[in-house]
Amino acid sequence: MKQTSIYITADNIISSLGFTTKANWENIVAEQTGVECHDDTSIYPSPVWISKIKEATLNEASKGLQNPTQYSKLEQLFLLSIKDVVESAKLDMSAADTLIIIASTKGNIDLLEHKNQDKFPSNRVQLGTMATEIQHYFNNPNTPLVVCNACISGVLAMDVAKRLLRKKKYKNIIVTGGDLVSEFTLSGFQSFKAMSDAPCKPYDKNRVGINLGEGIGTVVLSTEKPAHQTEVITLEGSASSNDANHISGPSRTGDGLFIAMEKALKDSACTSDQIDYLSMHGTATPYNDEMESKAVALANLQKVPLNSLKGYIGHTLGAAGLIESIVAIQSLRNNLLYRSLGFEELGVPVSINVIKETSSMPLQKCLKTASGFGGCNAAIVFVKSSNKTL
Amino acid sequence: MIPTETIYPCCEIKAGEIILDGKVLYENKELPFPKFIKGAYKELELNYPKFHKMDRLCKLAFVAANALLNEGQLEGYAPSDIGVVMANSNSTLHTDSKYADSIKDRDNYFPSPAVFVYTLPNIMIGEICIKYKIMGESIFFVSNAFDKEMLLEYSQDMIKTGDAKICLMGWVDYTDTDYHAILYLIK
Repeated sequence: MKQTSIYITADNIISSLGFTTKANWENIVAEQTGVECHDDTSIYPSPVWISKIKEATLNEASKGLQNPTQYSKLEQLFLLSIKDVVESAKLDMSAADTLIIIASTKGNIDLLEHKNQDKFPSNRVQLGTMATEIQHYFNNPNTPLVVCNACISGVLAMDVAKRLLRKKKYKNIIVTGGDLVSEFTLSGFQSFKAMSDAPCKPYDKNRVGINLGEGIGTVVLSTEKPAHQTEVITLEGSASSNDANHISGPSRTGDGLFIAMEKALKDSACTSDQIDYLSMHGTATPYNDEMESKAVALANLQKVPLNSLKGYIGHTLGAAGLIESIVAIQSLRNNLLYRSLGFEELGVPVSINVIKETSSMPLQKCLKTASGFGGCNAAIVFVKSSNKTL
Repeated sequence: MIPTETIYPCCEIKAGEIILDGKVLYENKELPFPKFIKGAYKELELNYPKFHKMDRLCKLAFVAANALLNEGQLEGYAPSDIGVVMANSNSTLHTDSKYADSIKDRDNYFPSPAVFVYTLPNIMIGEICIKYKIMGESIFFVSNAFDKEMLLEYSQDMIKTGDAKICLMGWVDYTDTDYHAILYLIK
């Protein structure tokens, strides 16, 4: 039986590269990176390479919100991103069949830091309280769902939306993911010695670790076909899995991620030879990238061009899966694959096809993956079709 | 026909009691949580050295899951056919606060990877997956209150769509003043 079609009807990215999908995409195509060295002791005791949203740009953008000072920095970013997709998809937020799903690993964790204490009520650090603030801003009647599942949160939140849309529980679901660069996460990843002291280099021989980034990615997933697009993008299938191996280290074999990729392909009724492009997680830590290369080989996708967005905006944690999916969708729409920034020479044990130059090619089907702490993995398939054939 | 409510195997831990399918497995209402859970670990003969490294939230989840799974209840299921759907309201706030304290003073700055790793609630799922070789679909939700209906519907849907054949589902929450775990095995 053919599954209910799920269309991506609007999207927004907020990162160091801009406050819209278009601004981010143009910078990526121009190979501009938002990862910079920040020597700011209010963020971290020593200089760090991160991708940070400029305070002044946010303050200017927030003037478009009602009572922006009532909201934390992360909440303002969520509101701006959701506002953009609501306006472009002309969504009725008061409708009973519209839901918001939020993906975040740490939410308002910066409020727990010493310097920010007492700025907001203490319960604002709870993800549920933050979600309620966002729900009320848009006068949506449904309690938002919050997915808190480490670095796969963004992809997994779309998987949740898929399940609810296929059940016809809702017509439109806004899926938004976001996290900040905070002293909390910076010091934590540093304690793991997982951070790079230079721009990160996914899959490269000389990769040493990640750059953290902050951002928001938001999509509208709908069971209603968009009328005015000549080409439509659908979420065809998705899945998650667990390595059952280690809580803070990836599997050594790639079998966990492979399970998620295989299930997502099956859910999409796709075979591996139909996939034109892989948007990977590619954090640039030695073990993660090695694991991914093995999973790609297990899935028989070694020849398929792939990249990681981390060199452009760092690892945006709960936002990563959403932002990277939106950029992958831009690739499908524009038949353009961006260069995997930071990559020079293959440094993973299995040969994979990392994109070295931004280039055009016809694209129809994309598989996107994510992996995170707790041994979790997720994969999702997006397909471009002509509006007539659907 | 009126459908009868299915009764699923259930373990609940709260207020100094561990109850499996209505029967008290372990009880000690006097002890603070760390001693209570250690007492349960010994009494229930968990014998799993990694347990001692876990934070309080993970220990709570682990003991509840063990009560439901330690008699081979997952035997015969492929690892990728076993799902986990869990939720709570405070995420990892207890460990977050402990971690935030370790970095508040620049002259006394000791971020610990062993603490930081427990600042994600899905680590509970990870610990359970390692012990019981679970490799299927899993998800962690955060909500203001325990919404059993939503979690049950979600797990049942995973089984109905063939994405899992059996599913560990429930709520595990820990704060400085209270704790509550309630897990079900949905088939």
